[in-house]
Amino acid sequence: MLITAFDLVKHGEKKGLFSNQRKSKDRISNVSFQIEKGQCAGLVGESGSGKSTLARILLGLEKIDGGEVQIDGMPADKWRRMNRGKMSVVFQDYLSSVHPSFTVKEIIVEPIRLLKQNQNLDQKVLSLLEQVRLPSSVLNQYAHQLSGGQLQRVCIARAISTHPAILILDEVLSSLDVSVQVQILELLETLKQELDMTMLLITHDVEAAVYLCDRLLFLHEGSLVEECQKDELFEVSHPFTLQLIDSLMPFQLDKK
Amino acid sequence: MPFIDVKNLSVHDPHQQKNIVTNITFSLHQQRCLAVIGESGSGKSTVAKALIDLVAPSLEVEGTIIFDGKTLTNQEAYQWRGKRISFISQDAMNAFNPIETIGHQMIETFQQHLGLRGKEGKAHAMAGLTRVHLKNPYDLMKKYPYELSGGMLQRVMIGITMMLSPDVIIADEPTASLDAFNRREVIRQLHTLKEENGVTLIVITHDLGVVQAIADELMVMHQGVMLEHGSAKEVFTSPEHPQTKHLLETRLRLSAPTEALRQQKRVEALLC
Amino acid sequence: MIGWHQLRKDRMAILSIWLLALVALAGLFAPVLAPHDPTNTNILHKYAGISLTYPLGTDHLGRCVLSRLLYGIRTTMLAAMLTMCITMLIGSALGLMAGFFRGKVDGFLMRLCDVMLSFPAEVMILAVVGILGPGLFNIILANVLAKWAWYTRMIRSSVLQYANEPSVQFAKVSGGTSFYILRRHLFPRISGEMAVFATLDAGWVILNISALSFLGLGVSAPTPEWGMMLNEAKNVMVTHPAHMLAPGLAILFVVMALNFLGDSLQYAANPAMHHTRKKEVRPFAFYRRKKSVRT
Repeated sequence: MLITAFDLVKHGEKKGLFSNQRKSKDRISNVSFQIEKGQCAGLVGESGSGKSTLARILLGLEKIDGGEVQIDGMPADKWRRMNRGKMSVVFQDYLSSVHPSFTVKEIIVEPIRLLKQNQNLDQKVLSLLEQVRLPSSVLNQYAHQLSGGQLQRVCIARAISTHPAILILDEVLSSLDVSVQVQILELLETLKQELDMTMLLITHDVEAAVYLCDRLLFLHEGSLVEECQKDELFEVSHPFTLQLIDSLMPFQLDKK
Repeated sequence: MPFIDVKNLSVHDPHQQKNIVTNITFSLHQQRCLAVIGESGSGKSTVAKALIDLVAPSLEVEGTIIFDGKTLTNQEAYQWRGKRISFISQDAMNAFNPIETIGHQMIETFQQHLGLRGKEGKAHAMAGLTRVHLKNPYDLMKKYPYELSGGMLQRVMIGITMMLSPDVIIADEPTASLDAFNRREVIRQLHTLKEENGVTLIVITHDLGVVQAIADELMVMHQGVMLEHGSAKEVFTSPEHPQTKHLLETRLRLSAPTEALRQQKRVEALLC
Repeated sequence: MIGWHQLRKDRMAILSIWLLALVALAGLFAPVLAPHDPTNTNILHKYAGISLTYPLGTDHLGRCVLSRLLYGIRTTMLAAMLTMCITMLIGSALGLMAGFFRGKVDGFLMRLCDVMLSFPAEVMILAVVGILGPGLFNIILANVLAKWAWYTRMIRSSVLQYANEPSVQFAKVSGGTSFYILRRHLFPRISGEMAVFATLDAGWVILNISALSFLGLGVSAPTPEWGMMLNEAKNVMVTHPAHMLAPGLAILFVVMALNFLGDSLQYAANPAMHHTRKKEVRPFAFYRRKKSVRT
C-alpha cells in the first residue's frame, strides 16, 4: 500500500459567536481508503463533496482534525519531509498556478531548483517539453501568451519534473474546452504508462475518471460512499452513485 | 415566419482592432432550441450577449436582430429584457448583488418584471427554488450570495428565469458549474419549458452531451465565424467542416470508455 | 504587474512623467540653473518684478524667487522621497509578514494598525512635530508614523490574495521555504501595487510637508522650500498677491502630475480595467462626457 487513510475528519469552518448555526457540517467525515503503488485512482464527487479538501490534506496543505494519513508505512508529514519533490500536484486553475512573470522555462524548473538539482537544466526542460508534447518555442513565452491546453501541459511538465512517486491532479480538466480535455487525458494516459507514478485524479466528471483511472472512489458530502474498479462501474449499488451514473449525458452518434 | 431572425451580426472591438464576431446569420422558429457550440474564444458568448444588447459598451455591434417581427433597438432590448427575453449568464457568482439576500433579489426581480408584490412575490420565489430542486427554499432565501456555492447560485438564476416565463431564454453555458445530477435536471426543466410552455431556447454550450439532449438546431462557431448551421441530427451525422468533425470526434473519444462499459453490461444482462 | 504598453498609450501618464522628470532634473541641476544664490538677500531689490536678472522677481528679502523655487525642489522632493521610501519599507515588510504568516503575528500587527489608524493623520503629524519640534527630519518622521499603518493594511490584503493562489501552494508543496515564497512570489507581485500606492500618496506627502512648512513647523529659514515660500508670501497677500503664484503653482502642478500618474498606473496595473476607459484620457475632455453606460 502506498497511500493509506484512516478515518479522516475535517471540520467545517467555525461560525461566528452570534451565528444561528450551532455546528457546521464536517467537510470530510470518516473517510478511509487505500491506494496501491502504481495505481491510478479517481476521486469522483460534485463540488462541495470534499474532494479538493482531501487533495489538500494529502498534499499537506491542510491539517486534519481526526484520523491519519500514512504514506509508505510512515506518517504522511514525515514522508513528505523526507521525500521532498516526490509528491506533486497539478491544479485546476492553470492561470493562477503559475507566476505571471515567469517564463515557461522558469515555471518548469522551479521544483528542480528547489531541490537544488541545478545541473543540465536546459536539457531536462527540453526533454520534459517533449514528454508533454509541447514545442520548444514556448520556452521563453509567458503564461498569458499560451492557450489553456498549452498552459496546463506546462503545469504537468512542472509537476513531473522531479520524477514524483505520487501525482495528484486536482480537477485539471474542468477549466478546459472539451476537445482540449480529451487531449490532456490522452497525455496523462501516456504518462501513466511511461512513468511509474501513483496518480490520483480528482474530478466531477465520471467519464474522464473512467477514461484514465483503474479504480474509482465516490465522495458525497464529505463521506466516501462507494469504491469500485473501473469495470464494475455499472454494478454499483449506493443510491448516490446510481444517481450519478444515471445523470450522465453521454454523446453518441448511433443513438436511436 | 421565424421568431428570431438575425442577419449579419458582427461585433467589433475598436481598441484591439479586431472582429470578435463576424457576419452571424440565422433564424429560429418558435418553440425550437438552437445550440451554439464552439471552443472558448469562438465568440459564442458574445453572440448571446449581443442578442439582448448586453455586450461591453466599448464594443461596436452591427447587424439586424428581429424578435417576433420587431427589429431590436436599444430601447426595445431594455424593455424586453427580463420579461420577454431572459438571459442566464455563465458567471452566476457575480450576477448577484453581494449585499442583499437571495430572497430579496428574487422578489425584487419579480416585482420589477411581473409586478408581483409581497406574499405573491415570495410564493413565486419559493416555487422557483423548488423547481430547481434546491432544498429548504425558505432558509435559502434568507442567505447571502457568498454563502452559496457557484452551482447553487446558477440554479437560483435558472429558477428566477423559469418563473419569469419569458418567450425566449438565452442561456450562456447554463450547466457549466453544475454537477451531473443538476445538469440533467436543468436540461430537463429547459426541455419542459420548451415543450409545454412554448419557450424558444438559445443555449450556448461546449458540451455536446447537452446539445444532443436538448437541441433541435445547431450552430458551430470558430474564431467568431459561423462554420455550420443546420438541424442537430444533420450536423452530427454529416458534419461538413473539419473543425466540426474535430469537435465531434474528441467528444466521442471522451464518452467512449464509459459507453463501452455500458454496452458490455447490456450484453452481459442479455446473456444472463 | 504593470502593463507598460498600456501606460505608453496614456497621454496623461506620459505628460505627468515628463513633468516630474523635468522637475527632478531641475532640482538636481539647481546649482547650474539657478541664476542666483537662493539665500542671497538684497533688501534694495525686494519685491522686484519680473526682469532678466530676476526671472520671477524677488521676495520680501530680495532673494531670487526662481532660484529659491529651484533649490526648493531639492528640499521638498528629498523629504517626500525619503518619507515614501521609509513608509513603503516598513509597510511592505510588516504587510508581507502579516499577510503570509497569519495567526498571532497577523492579529498583533492588525490591532497595532487599528490603533494607529484611529488617529487622524493630520492631527498625529501636528502632535509629533509639536512634541519633537520643527525640522525636516521630524516632519519625515511624523509623516512615516501617520502613514505606515495604512500601507501595511493595503499590502497585507494584496498578500492575502496572492498567498492563497495555486502558484504559491505549488511552491509550498515543492518544498519552498517561507522566505523563498516571500522573495520570489509575493514581493514581485505586490511591487506593482506598491508603485501605485506610492505615486498616489506622494502628492499627499508633498502637500503635508509644504503645509507644515507653511505653518512654520517645517524647515527653518533661510532654507528654500515651497511651503515656506508660501508662508512668506501670505504675509503680503494683499499687497503683492502675485508672490503666492510661483510656489503655489509649483506645488499644484507637481501634485497634480503625481495624482494623474497614480491614476494611470492603477489602470495599467489592472488588466481588467483596460477597456473601461473608452478613449485615451485627454485632459479637459470633461465637456464632452457621454451618457453613462446602459448595462
